[in-house]
Amino acid sequence: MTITPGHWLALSAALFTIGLIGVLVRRNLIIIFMAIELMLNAGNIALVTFSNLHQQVSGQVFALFVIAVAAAEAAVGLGIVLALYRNKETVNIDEITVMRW
Amino acid sequence: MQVVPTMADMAWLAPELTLTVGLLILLIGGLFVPRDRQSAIVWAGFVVLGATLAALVPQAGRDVTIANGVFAVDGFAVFIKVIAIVAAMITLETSRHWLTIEGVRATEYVVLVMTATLGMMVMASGVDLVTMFIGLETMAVSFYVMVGYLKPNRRSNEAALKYFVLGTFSTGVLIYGMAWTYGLAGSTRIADIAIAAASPEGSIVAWRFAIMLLVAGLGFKIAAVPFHMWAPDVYEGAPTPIASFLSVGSKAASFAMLIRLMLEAFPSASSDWRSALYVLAALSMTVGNIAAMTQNNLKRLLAYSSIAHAGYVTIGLVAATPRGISASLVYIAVYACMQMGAFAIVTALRQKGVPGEELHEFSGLAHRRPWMAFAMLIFMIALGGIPPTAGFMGKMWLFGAAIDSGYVWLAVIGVANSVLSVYYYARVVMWMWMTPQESEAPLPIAPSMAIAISLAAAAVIIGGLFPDQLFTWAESSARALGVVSVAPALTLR
Repeated sequence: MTITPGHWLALSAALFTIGLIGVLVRRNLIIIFMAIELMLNAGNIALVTFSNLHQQVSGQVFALFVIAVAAAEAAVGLGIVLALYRNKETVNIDEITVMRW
Repeated sequence: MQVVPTMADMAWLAPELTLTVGLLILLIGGLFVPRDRQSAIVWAGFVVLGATLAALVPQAGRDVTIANGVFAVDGFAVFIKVIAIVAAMITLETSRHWLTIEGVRATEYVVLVMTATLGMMVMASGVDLVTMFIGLETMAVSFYVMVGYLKPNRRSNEAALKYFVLGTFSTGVLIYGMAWTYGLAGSTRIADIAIAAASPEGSIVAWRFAIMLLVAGLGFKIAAVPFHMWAPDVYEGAPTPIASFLSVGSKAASFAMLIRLMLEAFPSASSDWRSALYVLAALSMTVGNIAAMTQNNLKRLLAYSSIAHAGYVTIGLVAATPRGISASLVYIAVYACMQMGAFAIVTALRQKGVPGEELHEFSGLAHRRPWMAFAMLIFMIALGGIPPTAGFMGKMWLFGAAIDSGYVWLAVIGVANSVLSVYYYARVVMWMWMTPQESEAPLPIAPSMAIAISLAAAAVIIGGLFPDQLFTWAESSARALGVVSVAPALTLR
């Protein structure tokens, strides 16, 4: 069996869905971050697949930018979690409820 | 193919380069400023932003695309950039007093305000998915940090966390949409996407899916219902000047990106995204205004009101005529003045040991600080859309544009919502005038704050009495997008 672009797109769609569901149902912040990373990487896989399909590099360059941005986001995100943990000692989002409508 | 930017390109990038160099110098220079001289940094930031604004002047009325077709310098971009820079300047002015009360270091704060502004400027000019994305993330990551700037404060932590989780989530959605757009169009450039979308190859469902992902991703950034859940919590917990910058600058730049994407990349799918945005606009106005009615925290109230205002601005994009887009631009500018003014007053009420955010803290403000209460009255009636303020003029144009394009029901929903919103704006005014004074504590106002509030109030009134200038400017800015061709409703086929 050969691996076609269709397979790669299916993989990216699966990763995106797993990430989406992960963000919505998990309660641990670190897991939620990981789920978000899955969503970003699903985008990356799709970008690289399309880049290959069109025989261009712009999609791959885009993916590189996304990776760089994801790294910056992860650094800031973990910083925020750390600041919160120092004050509240929890990473469970059900307990982070100072503000509610 | 020219890949390296030429010197001529660099000249067009003068405003962005000024800001970048300025903020880098400030970031390093700030280390050598003693703690009791923090105010100097705020001044320096103000000067750099002023220089950026000056560098923008020669670009007025020009229309070029530079750097290999990824960066547009046109009237539309200039309009949004002016709003972003002025909003950043007002944010710094209103922060000066606030920074000393909170006792936090100013350097990083000022630099982050400037990086966010830089991101907004790139978003306004980006005509390539990659450029837009980089601009958006520069802005968003700066805001994640700024919202959580008060590290020992639990509300600030929580607000930063909520904004971060939902912000990155929306980035994930947006990136997936951009990946599919690129895949279907074969290019990341807006102009090429428009050509590809005009005779779409591949599945129409996939095209629609990509467009909907883009709308959803940006819907989070403009805080439109049903992507609005973060806004009230984030505005409440964030430092007040940052909440005001977030609600104005971030929203203006995200609208710029949304408008450019929809009008320039997908004019051939106009009826697809128009129906999606129609629902978004109607829901945002209604949910925002109804939820605002029961709020007792002014920052939350303004958050819900900003959700409703995102709905009003979207009306212009649904209309998608030159008049509609210029009405959206006018309304973004007007909204910037009223919202920043109202937030500035909330910031001014923040004193040592007094949060100054709850409605009851506004009691008797008319006796304690008559002109401040008067300014708040102006902002409230402007937000409610009552003449003779710019808020009324802006709404009239928006609803008029909607009717012109045949969206009569959307205009009706908008008018009904304006009437509804007067209730909670009037509630604020009632607290200021009709309740006895709760606190006898003095309420010192920094001169910079007084100037910022007065300017915003004056702009709201002048914009209401003599709106021609603003409308003319917005109209020529909207023309830069070439929206004339969008008016007919087209479906992908």
